[in-house]
Formats: sequence, C-alpha cells, structure tokens
Amino acid sequence: MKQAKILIADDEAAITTGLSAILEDAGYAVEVVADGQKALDTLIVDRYGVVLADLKMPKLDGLALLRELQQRQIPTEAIIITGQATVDSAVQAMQQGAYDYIEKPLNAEKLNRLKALIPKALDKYEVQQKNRELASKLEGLTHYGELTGQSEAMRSVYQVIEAVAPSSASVLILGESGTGKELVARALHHKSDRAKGPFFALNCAALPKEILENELFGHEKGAFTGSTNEKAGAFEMASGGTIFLDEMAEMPTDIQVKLLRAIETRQIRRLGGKREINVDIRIVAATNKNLQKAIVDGELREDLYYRLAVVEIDLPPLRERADDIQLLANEFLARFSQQNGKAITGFEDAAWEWIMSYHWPGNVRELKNAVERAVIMSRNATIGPNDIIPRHLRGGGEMPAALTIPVGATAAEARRQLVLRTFASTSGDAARTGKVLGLSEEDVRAELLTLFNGAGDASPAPAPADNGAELSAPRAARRQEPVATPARAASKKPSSKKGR
Amino acid sequence: MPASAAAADAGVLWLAALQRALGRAAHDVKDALNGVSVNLEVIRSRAARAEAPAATVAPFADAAAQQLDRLTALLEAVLALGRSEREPADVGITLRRVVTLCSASNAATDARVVVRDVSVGDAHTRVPGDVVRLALVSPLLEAVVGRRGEPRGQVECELANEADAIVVRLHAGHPVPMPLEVAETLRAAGVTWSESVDELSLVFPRA
Repeated sequence: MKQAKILIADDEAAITTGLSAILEDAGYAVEVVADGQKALDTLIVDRYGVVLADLKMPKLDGLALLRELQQRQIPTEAIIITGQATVDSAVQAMQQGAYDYIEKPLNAEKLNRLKALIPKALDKYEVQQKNRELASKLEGLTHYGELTGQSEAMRSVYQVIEAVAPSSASVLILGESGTGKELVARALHHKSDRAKGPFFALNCAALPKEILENELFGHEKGAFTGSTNEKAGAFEMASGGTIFLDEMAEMPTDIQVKLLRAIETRQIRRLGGKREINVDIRIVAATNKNLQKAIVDGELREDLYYRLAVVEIDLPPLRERADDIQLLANEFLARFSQQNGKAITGFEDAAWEWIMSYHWPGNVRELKNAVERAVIMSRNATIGPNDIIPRHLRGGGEMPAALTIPVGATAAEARRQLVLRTFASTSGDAARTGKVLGLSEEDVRAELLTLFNGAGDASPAPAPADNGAELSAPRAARRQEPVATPARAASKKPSSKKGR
Repeated sequence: MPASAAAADAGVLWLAALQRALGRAAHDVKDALNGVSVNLEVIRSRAARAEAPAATVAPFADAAAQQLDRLTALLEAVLALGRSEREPADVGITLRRVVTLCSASNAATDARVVVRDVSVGDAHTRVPGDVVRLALVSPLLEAVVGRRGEPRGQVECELANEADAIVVRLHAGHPVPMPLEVAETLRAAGVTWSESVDELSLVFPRA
C-alpha cells in the first residue's frame, strides 16, 4: 500500500527529528523542512496529504503559509503546531483553512491526539483529491450516462451523481418536468454497485391510490375482490437494485406512511399479507413540486422528505442551460434524421435564432419533441423556422387564446379539448391545468387517460402527446428495466424512455 | 533619587521587565519541553518493540537530554532572576542568566542574544543585583524585539574589565537606546552608559 506523505515544517530540529521518527514508525513517509518558504516550495512541486506546520517559522510563518496554500489552491491538510497558542491565532489558523490546531508542548496526550488527527486529515485530503480528479475528469464532458450537457450546471449534476452513486443514500431529484429526472435516476443506478440489479421506475402521480399501493407493495391472493393470484410489488421486484419514485410528492399521505416504514425497516408487507418481506433497495425519488409548500400544506410528510432527501440533486431547467441547447438540438437532429431515414444536415440561422431565444417551458423533452417533429415535417436538407416552430407559437403568442368547438360537438368532447389545450399551455402540468379550469387534478388525469386509452375522439391532440409522456397511461407509469445490461438498455425504444 | 529609593524603584521596574522577558521565553520553554516529550515518546514506543535495536533510540535520547539541558538552564535562570537581589552582584553571572532568559532562539525573527565573552574572572560591581539585571534586560529586550514585538535582529554581548569598571557592550548593528523609564533609576544607582549608532556600552563601577 502506498505510504501517506506528511511534511513537517518547523525550525526546531530537536522536535522535527523526534516527530518524524514517531510518524515514520506509524507508517507515514515524512519530509522535514526548516521554514515556511521551503514548505511552500516543497508543496508546490510535490503532493503531501498533511503538513504539520509550526506557527512561528523563519521566512514564512504558519499563517502566511496557510494563506499561500489557499491562494495557490495547493491541496493538503494543514495542522498547525505552536508554542504560542492564543484564541486569536487558533481562530485565524482555522479561518485560513487549517485542518486543526495543537498547542505545544506535545506531551503524550497531545501526541496521541495528533496521531488520531492525521488519519482523519488524510481521509479528508483523499476525498478532496478524488473530487478534484473527478472535477477535472468531468471537465469538457458532454455526455454522462444518458444525460447530455456540458454546461457548468450539468457538470455539477454529474459530479454529485458520481459522488453519491456508490453510496446507498436515498436521493431526491428536483427539477421541472422534462429536465431528465429519470435519466439522473438511471445514471445513479448504473454507476452504483446495484447496477446488475433491477431498476424499477414508478410514476406516483399517474396511478389511483389503490393501484399505486398495489404496485408498490404487491398483494396476496384474495387480498381484494378479483385478486386471484399473489403479486410482488415494486419493492420486491426492485430488491437488490434501485426503485425510482417519480412525482413522489403526489403520493397519497397514507401510502407515504407505508413508504416511510418500508424505508426505515427495509421490510414490506403485501396487501392482505401477514408476513414481513425483507427488501434490499435504494430509493431515488423525484418531484417537480415545491416541497416546502407541500410539507406546509400537509401533502408531503416531513419525515418522509428527510428520509428521501439524504442527497438532493437539483436539475436546472433548459432555459438556464443555454450552453446545452445547441448541443442537444444537434444531437436530436442527428438521432431523428437517422431514425427517419432523412439526410438533414442542420438548422437554418432563423431556426437557430428561434431555438436559442425560446424559453422551453417543457425543457429537454419539449426540445426533443420539437426537433423530432421538425425532422418528420421537413422536406429540405436543413430545418427551417417553419419546421421547428410549432404552429401554435407562430405569429406571436405562445398558445392560441381561443379554442374553437364545432357546433354539434358533445359536451364531453368540448371538455376534453379544453383540458387538452390547457394541459398543453401549462407545459403538461396537470395540477396547474386543474386550477385553471376549476377541476381537480384527478379529473384532469382521468380526462387524459380517457384519451390515451382510446376513448377520445379522432381530433389531433396538440402538445400533450409530446409533453405528457410521463402522464400518459399506467403502462408508461410503470417501467421496469429487468436486469440492466448495456445491450438490453440500448435496445429499448427511445419512445419508452422518459425525458431525453 | 537616594540610593535606597533607587533600589526599591529598580525592584519594581525589574519585575515588570522580568514579566516581559518571561513572556518571550515561554516559546523557548515550550519548544524545549516539546523536544523532550517528542523524543521521549520515540524512545518509549521503540523500547516497547522487542525488535528495535538500542542504536535506534540513542539519537533520540541525546536529543531529549539536550532539550532537557536547555530547559534546565532556562529554569535555573528564571528561578535565580525571580528572587529579589538587593546586594551587589557579579555582572558576569547576571549577564549569563539574563542572556539565557532573553536569548529565546527564535529563528522566525532571527532575534536572539549571543554572548561573545564573559570569562573575565571576578566581575563584582557595587551596584545592587536588581539594578544590574534591569540595566541589562531593558535594552536587550528593546534591541531584539522592540516594544511592539517587532523583530529587530541579533544582539551580541561582550563583557570587559576596564580599570575600575566592568563594561558590557551590547552590539546590535543598530542604535540600542536605554529605555527612558529606567534611565533615572539606573543613573541614581551608579550605572552609566554611552550610545553609538550600533551599540550600547554599559559601565558598572567595580566593587
């Protein structure tokens, strides 16, 4: 095993000789320098996990050395050792980034403290070193898993995923609809030790309470009328892998209680069942809701929030990732051109102008759908503004303010059109649609489900078909990736994926 | 100022100067203690390992002993100078103790006191011990660190026997003024001095 390196900076030879012998006996590789300037010079050319520096040293004292280390961003953890311990100097040292502070004389007790401090400081150095390596690895990266983006905001997201994926911590992904929350969940799964286990995604908003409960926990034979067979729920099926609970804040509160219990005990009980079943799962949840408000309004249990939000990942909306729009648009263009057998080479300048100036309320999903539609509609080698700009956005307003209902249409058809158009105008936000129309969110969802289950009329649905994939139907609400091998994951149809 | 009043005044002034000198010596005391403990810890831990040969602990025993000597000298000087001394003193002995106290070797500031020669045999003055200490310590502290703790460099001390006087030269490479607050007390007790651009010469009348 590689020896951890420690640098001692002190002008007292009698101390440094003894101290270096103690640390060498403890298994460290130790170098000694007699002043602060030499310490700085040494740290510039070589890496030391810990530097033990006297506060008073020739040329550059301990505090000045700390300042230089901070200014030059030299990675090391400094422990200040001094014979002139005052509260002021201790505070100054800590403010300037010292890991800790020990007062001379180093009697047996203080030496023991120092020996205990060093491994902790080295651990911190190692973690920070890994983070630095990771940051430099991610620099310039345009793709991460299925995510695309090279903006600062996305690189920060990649960094958090990379750091948190190997742990078993629950992760809460926050972000507007269409930002790619499920892709982040998949990346967390694939980068974790559970990658060989199942990834199970469930949209909590798309299912009625009873079905959601059944989907989560399963049921025993005879649990309810018509349950002729036993059925394992998501927790059992995701055991050994990751369960992704999308739109988590939409979950009814009594199911939240059961979920909390399952997270805490790692055990579940099927509906109608009497035995506890052990499950080994990692939970990744996502929402586009204001959680603080949901907690205050009693829609989300605070204890569940804290259980799920061990780590939070905030996905930026596309309008805050201007650097990524061009990259994404080009990537979608290449993908859909190939899928549709078209030789489209790029976007016209006017199309680019619109793409870059539009605020993309439906985020990456909206951009993807816009490009796919443009590729299909285009008859030229390039995408023009008329191909990419949706009809309802041409000529000023983003959405038509009026809706024409033909005479003779049924009240049900009129209601459905109204729900669909409003749903589209809210970029696929069922809750907002309900508020605007004076309907409950459940009514809106029921209306949408009716359409997607084939009960709707033949009139074309506008934006919801693009934006509302995650709200479309129970089959889309439950997406299991049985055992995620790269080949199988790649063979999935893009249309079965949510987001990008 | 009568001689007895000057001696009493010197006692008070000396205590103030001693306090300042001790503050400066604290770093040296802690460094020496640190040297002892750290080297003893090496010896202790290596002695506990059966396979560690004695030769591997010997240098640390030497280093600990060296630091202990340094500490002993400092403590002896502090204990001796801490006692009031109103009787006439030996300037040579007092100078050695004062230098030990003030010579806190602080490489960080390069402020230290070194003694070039103090072997002049009997150096008894008729000036009381507290006054001699005060006369030596006050300018020495000014010369090495200044009033606000700013480093002022190294001072060399030289003791000489001249006719009816014992002369101590404090050579600093810069002016070494006698602090005003002690000047009158020293003069009243019979100590004289002369200042030049780079040194201070103190003259103590021989006993």
